[in-house]
Amino acid sequence: MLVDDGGAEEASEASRRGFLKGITGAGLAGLGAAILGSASAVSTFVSARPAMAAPKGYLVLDPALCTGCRTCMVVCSTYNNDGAASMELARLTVPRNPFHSTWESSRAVNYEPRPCLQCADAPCVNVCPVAAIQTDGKSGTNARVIDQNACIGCRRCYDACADAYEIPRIQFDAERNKAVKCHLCGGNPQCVSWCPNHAINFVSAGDFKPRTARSNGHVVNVESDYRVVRAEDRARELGYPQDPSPEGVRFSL
Amino acid sequence: MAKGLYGYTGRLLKIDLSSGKIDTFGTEPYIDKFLGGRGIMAKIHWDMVTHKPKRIGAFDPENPFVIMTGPLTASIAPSSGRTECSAISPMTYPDECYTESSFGLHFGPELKFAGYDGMVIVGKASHPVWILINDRTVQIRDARFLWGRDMFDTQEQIWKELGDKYRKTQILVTGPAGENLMRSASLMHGSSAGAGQGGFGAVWGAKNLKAIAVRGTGSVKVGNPERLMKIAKEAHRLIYRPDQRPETWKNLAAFHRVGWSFYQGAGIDGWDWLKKNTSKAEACFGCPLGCHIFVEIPDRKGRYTAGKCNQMSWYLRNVMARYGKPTDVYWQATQHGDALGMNAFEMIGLLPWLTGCIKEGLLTEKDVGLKMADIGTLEFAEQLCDMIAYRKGFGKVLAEGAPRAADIIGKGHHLLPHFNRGFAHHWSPRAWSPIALFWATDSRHPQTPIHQLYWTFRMNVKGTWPQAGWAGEKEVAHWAKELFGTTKAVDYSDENFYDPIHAQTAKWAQDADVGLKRSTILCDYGPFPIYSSYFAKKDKSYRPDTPSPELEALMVNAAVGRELIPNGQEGMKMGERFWNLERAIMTREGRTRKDDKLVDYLFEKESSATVTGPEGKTIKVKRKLDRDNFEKLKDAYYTARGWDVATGRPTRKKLEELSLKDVADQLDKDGLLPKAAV
Repeated sequence: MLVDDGGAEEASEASRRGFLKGITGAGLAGLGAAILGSASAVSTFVSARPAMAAPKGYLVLDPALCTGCRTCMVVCSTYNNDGAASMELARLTVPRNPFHSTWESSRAVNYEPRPCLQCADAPCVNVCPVAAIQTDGKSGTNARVIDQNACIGCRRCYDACADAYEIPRIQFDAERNKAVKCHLCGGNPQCVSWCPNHAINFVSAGDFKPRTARSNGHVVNVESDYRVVRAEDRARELGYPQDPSPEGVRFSL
Repeated sequence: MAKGLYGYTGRLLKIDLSSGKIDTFGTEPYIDKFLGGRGIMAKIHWDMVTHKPKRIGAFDPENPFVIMTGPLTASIAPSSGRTECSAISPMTYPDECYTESSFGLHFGPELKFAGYDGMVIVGKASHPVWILINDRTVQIRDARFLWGRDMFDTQEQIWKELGDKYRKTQILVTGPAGENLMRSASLMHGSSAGAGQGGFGAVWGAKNLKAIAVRGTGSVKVGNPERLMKIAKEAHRLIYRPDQRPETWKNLAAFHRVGWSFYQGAGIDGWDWLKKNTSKAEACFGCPLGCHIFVEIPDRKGRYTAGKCNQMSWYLRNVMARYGKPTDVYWQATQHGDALGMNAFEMIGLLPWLTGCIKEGLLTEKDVGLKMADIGTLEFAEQLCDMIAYRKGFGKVLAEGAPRAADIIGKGHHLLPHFNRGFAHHWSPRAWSPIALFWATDSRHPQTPIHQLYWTFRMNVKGTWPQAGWAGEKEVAHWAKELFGTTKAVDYSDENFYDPIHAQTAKWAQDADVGLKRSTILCDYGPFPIYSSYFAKKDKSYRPDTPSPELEALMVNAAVGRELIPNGQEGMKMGERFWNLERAIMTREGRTRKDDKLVDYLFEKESSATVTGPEGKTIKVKRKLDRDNFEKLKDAYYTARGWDVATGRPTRKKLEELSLKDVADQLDKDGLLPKAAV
């Protein structure tokens, strides 16, 4: 599905394409949003979309440390949905497979968080007909965020993400009929601060440069780059099985 | 979710497998008095099962199987992933009695996301069925394509059937052992979470129920998310708090995952094996620890599964005896038993009993159909498990559980390593007096009150447990004073062993456990001790007035958005209410003081242990129990509980004090209320 092209030039070209596509799309469905009565949709309709600024940081994973507890998911939804915990509204997903067991690349990874990668030229941004998805300049994170007032609930961003990645990073709030996605919690990602095993880290863009790949004409970030596996050392540090030093009395009945 | 109701979904599911009728009823009427989990389960059972006109047995269609969550389930509260279930158990001995069991991972939260706080299953399906709960869509589906499949396979097949590529559906299943009514058959969820004790797998088997699959896309709203997050964050911090938990705590976490089995298994050092063969921890919903570990040894079908604790150890001694070191067989035998849906704890008691009987000539190899020379091999374990799970040959007898098997063959009772109620040994009553009371008075193996008391007073104490060590004798003495007013509460020297104070501590642990953990629901096993306020106390913002488990109460209040449990003491009172209600259920089942007993060998054979002594000092003891003194300790326990000392039954005074007047009236009507005024 993904073709690794590793080229930054490609990204800018795709960005231009996306830019054009976005304008036409916005023209059509922006009207729809206006009918629905969303004032900000109109304003985004008229503003030209600038080339996407790179995010200030990325969520980088250490899948070796993920225990599948879904603390990240429950805290994400509690924090971002006014106290409503939900696995569907969490802006990241932890697929679980209780019958596989290893972080080795040779075998399926059983538990691993799949957050938004904040793509260089995000397909979700480009397909939005009302340009509701923008970079978050206000908080300074430059995360790709969805303007909840502008969103018309067409799910195109969801599908675009699902085309690029097996597990879409955009969630759909069926009750409100809006798409929701990771906004890096305005620079303090809750999943990072709550993950008890430090499996999710917030790494500044200066320390982490993801490669890009092509997917259906879009330039997306290469997911595998986000998996930083530091198994041995990190596991030891965090108290996974290691050399024993048990001093004391043996258990006896 | 009902409007204005936080922390609960407000709906309970009722499924009658006989008629196929699916119904819901409200949670709200139960909440204020019974909270959730074990509290509501006991209330539902009390209302549904009157044992009139006839005594209801475990395999009767009328036996209600109840699954419950609590107000903290599916919330950010740490280690809130467990799910409680209850029914009349086929495993309890000598009678089939009400008991409960719980399991971890993600089933309960998913049930709440689907919109249900719990469910009650009654009746018996005419053919094998499984239940699919997909939000508000609840179906009873044909399970003939699943019947006979093992635990892991059944789950894979259901995911396949549903096209659930990412296994978002959480499934609770029973295996061949349950289908064939092995009395201790377990329920299993994922590869490592199971409700074993109680034999509810067989209850399902009798109901022709193979699996319950839940998928919930809804949400559960908490009343005060900011506060809950603040408290939960604090709990997270306490779990990894450097001054309280130096690196040894993390070692201890790793140790929970795996190490138990080795220490249980004759004190051998298995760290080499563990280091080589285990990979990744697995945690229940919202748990910061993750006490399950994946083992990198596939079973014969190539599946990798996780395990923990005693589940991993039932065959270890035999493997050690044969090979001199832990080998893959040790794990593969466990996997085989798990796959068949056998309760590993049962095997811990059954295998030594069987080998003992053969050694003493009470049984022969020919009777049993096993070649004892092969013990320790994988083939032997597989053959043994298969014959029990499928009730082949002598397996028919063994599937009844060791105590009943002894009854059937009419001998071998003296070899049973079962403490009481048909449950195999675990934590010696000879070492700690409250544990003697736990074993005597519980409806089952009293694992959770034991955790409540001893994670604090033993586990963390330097030198009494491998790798434990952040606390010392001074701390133990301090906690004892804080909690019980005297260090005698943790003094298990011979002189103080039968002191009535131990009845108080036993009551305290039972109430705290059932009220604030098993009903809210929080894990008794994971970040256990921090929930008791003597740990949280150092932080002034959480300072309680009196020593009691306060953090649980704070979290529940934040989750439900009101003062449901005003303080820890009230939480303890709730626990006392549930405990009395459970005792009322037992009373209706005919339980009296004479059933609160312990197996004979505890009074006849000495055993040594390292325990806390005077002033919290660590001492070594060697002793057996004394019958007269034990009866006196029971007197103290019934007195502390406010029950009738002669019969061990709850009194009207106590029940009314706990707002259980209707229960007292009912018992009175049945002639079960003690006559003597207390």
